[in-house]
Amino acid sequence: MVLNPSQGVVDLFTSPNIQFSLDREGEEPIYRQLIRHIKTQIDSGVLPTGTRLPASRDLAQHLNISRISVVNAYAELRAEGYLSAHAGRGTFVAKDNGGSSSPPEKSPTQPDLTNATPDRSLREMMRLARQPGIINFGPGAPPIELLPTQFLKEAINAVIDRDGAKALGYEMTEGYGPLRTAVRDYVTALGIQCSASDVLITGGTQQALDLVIQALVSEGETIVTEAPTYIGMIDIIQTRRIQAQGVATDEEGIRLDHLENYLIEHAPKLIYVMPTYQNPTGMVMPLHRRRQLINLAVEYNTPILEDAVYHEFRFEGDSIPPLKALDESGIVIHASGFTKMLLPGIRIGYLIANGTHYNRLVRVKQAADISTPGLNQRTIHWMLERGVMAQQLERNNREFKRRRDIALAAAKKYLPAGTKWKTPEGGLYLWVTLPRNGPTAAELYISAIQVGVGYAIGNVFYPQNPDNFTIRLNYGAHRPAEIEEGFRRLGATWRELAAEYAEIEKSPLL
Amino acid sequence: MATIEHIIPYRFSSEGQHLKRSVMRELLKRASEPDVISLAGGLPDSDLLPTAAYQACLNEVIAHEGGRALQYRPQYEPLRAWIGGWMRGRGVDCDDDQVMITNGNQQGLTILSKLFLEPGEPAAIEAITFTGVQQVTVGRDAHIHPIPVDLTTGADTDAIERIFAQYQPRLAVIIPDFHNPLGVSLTDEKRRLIAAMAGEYGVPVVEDDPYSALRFYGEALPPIRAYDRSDYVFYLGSFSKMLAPGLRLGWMIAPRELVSRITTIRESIDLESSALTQRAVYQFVSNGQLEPHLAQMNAENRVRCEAMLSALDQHLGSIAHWTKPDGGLFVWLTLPEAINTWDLLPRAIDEQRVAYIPGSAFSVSGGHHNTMRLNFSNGKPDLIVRGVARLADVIRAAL
Ligand SMILES: Cc1ncc(COP(=O)(O)O)c(C=O)c1O
Ligand SMILES: Cc1ncc(COP(=O)(O)O)c(C=O)c1O
Repeated sequence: MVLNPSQGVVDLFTSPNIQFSLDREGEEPIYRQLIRHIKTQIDSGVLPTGTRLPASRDLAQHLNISRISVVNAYAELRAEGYLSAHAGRGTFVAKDNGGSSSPPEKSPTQPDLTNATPDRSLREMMRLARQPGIINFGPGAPPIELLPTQFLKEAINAVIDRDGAKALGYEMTEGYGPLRTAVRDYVTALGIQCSASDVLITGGTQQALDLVIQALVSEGETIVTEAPTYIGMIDIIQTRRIQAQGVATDEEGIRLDHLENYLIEHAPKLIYVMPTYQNPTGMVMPLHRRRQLINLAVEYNTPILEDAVYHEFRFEGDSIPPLKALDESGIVIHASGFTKMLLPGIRIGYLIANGTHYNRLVRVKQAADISTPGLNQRTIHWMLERGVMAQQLERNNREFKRRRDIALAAAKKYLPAGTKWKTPEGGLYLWVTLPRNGPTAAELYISAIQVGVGYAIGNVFYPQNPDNFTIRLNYGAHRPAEIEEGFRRLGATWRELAAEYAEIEKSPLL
Repeated sequence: MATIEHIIPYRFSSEGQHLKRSVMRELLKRASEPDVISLAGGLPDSDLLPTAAYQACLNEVIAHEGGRALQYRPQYEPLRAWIGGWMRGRGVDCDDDQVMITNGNQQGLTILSKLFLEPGEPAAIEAITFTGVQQVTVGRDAHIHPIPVDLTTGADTDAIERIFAQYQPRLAVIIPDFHNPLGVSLTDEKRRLIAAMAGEYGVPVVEDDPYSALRFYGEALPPIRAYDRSDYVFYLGSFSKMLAPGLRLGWMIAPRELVSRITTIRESIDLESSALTQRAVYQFVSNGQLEPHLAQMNAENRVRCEAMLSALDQHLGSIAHWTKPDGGLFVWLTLPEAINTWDLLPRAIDEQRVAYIPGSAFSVSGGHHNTMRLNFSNGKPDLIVRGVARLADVIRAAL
């Protein structure tokens, strides 16, 4: 059976040769011991090339150690080339130790994942922070305590009482008519000129982005993104097997000189940007650069996908119109949603696009999932009609500003000297560059999580050439006391690790 | 009529198809005028949807979970477990963690097409099939090998074997129960054969099953997946017809090895299904409300189906033949060669005020000009009887 590449696989649990004697009391961290044991067994040929190792959860259970120890050990062994990960199939011994067996074959029904999926171990690692007790600044969610639960309840009941079973039938692929009109009204207030027939309702902003990629970019073709960029776009890029070129950013967003060079040389299919409160950096592109960007796109006839999910998360600074508001030629496709702004779990997003783009997008949407849940669309429509969102944004932004201030104060107080960040004027995130004389973001993560604080490792946001010292902290999702305590833990952990590193560097190489 | 979009067939490739599509769209718009009897629908009657019960479930969830039901959330474990139990009850050997929540079967089809099929590669689909199946295969420029379908026993397994052996399709799609548009169900023996062939030839077979719970005659048959020992059958189930289509909620049973890969694809497509919807549906099923709902709906569908079949007997018995479904929503009507159901549709709507879907709309490689799909779930029996009578008038006039 090809989906199960088990021929020649050594069972790590039952093989009599396998002995893990872990010293639980000792100085050496468990994951280090595990690394040592596995290396020894690979080098000695006990674990030949191609052997599948147990899933981290299973091994952790078997050895009665924490899962993070196993994940860290595997991650390190992968980095050193001892192991290789094959998404969907597991972790295998990769080291060529002159042994007999070859690496596991690609099975016929398995898509070839080795070149499509870069190492996801950092992503896996970040999942480990999802445990009770950890102050996790990693995920991009808005805070649960601010969600308009009561309004939602009222809206849902009002809609069902009004529409009955109609609210539970298939909706038109383009979306519920009155919601499309309400979206038109809403974006018109942001300066975007469009009609309701330019509005396509989607399953969250994520689907909006994916539909645009499907409609405009074929496998193997290239798009341009900011570097760093939204992680969900990196997922799309991998799933759709397209190429992405990250273009450097400065204080004002994507660098147009670099972008133009790239447009000239590689004629990419699309430019993906988040002009306002960019995820993860929090940057805002000023008006003049927005205009220049559009001019460039028009000149090279390359559509822009504008992701505006954070556009209204403004608590300081001037309001700057979205790209789509400045677009006279229909080259900008505008994506956003009522998720971050209002209710993530109701999954309503939208696209604003013109003519030919629009028709293709509708066709792709229909093949993707026919339509977006009608009740959810009608519920959001009801809330928009009653001004719930405006109210919600105001309340959120007031609270985010307060939390931002607390985060900045805590950063100053606790994070090591030499840490850099830009003060965000909106959005949820603080983007931090750690001093380079200490641990990298990934190294720090392992220890941080053990003292109960998590964050997003900056590397995951880069299409290529990551900066190993960057981290993203979602201050918006946490109450002030948690922010303070989380930053304190983070700073303390950094200092501890940095001291250890200094120690190692000072000791003579023998 | 909200269903127009959903039932309009279209393909990506040819301009001609687009033209046909817009013509059809126009026609069906007229078909939604109040005095037109529509046999063109594809849904349970909205009067039979458990709207009030579902509303109560929503309220319960909001009361108990508040904001947690409205946040970004992982798939809802209790719902996965319930579905796991439902599938095991149908003879499928699977664990709860092989259940992946989707936004309906259309999304399941899209995900699996993305996973296995590249443009230009071979795919096997039934020669007459739901347009959404065509979208994820024909629409992705696959090289299509149509599987003939027998109108009483379902997909032709000899043909499947030939196609699998000769072309090694990267993907096959079969609708096991109460086929859309044919109304036919696969025999038990054919299910066993298809499961075996999937493993033997290494062809991923997608079992697209939105209708099996809509049975009103006979004994339920196990899905193909129940006979699968090789992990090559991918089962797709949906709450669209069991509960309500607008929920956009369904599931996939995936091999353990592929769960994390499929999760990655799903997250890139639209992150997740509505947390609130998952919880409310779980509330509904775990309250034990699904079985009575299905019993009531199926009993009603049975009466409507019988009404349609006897009206067909009465009005078209001498010149046509049709499938006799044990459940689902559709009857497939085959008329004399001289009839072209595309050409007839404008007259049917304009003159006799009755609508249907021409069979060729579902045909993968053309032909079938003398066939049509009729839906019996959307109106009360007397309306259906009148609809069939009008239809017979149009047909007889054209002969
Ligand atoms: C920049 C950006 N775009 C899109 C999304 C997707 O959001 P949703 O699909 O919930 O609307 C997110 C969520 O993190 C985001 O940060
Ligand atoms: C055979 C078939 N597959 C899939 C679907 C789509 O179902 P869902 O609403 O679960 O996406 C339909 C809907 O009519 C169908 O008939």
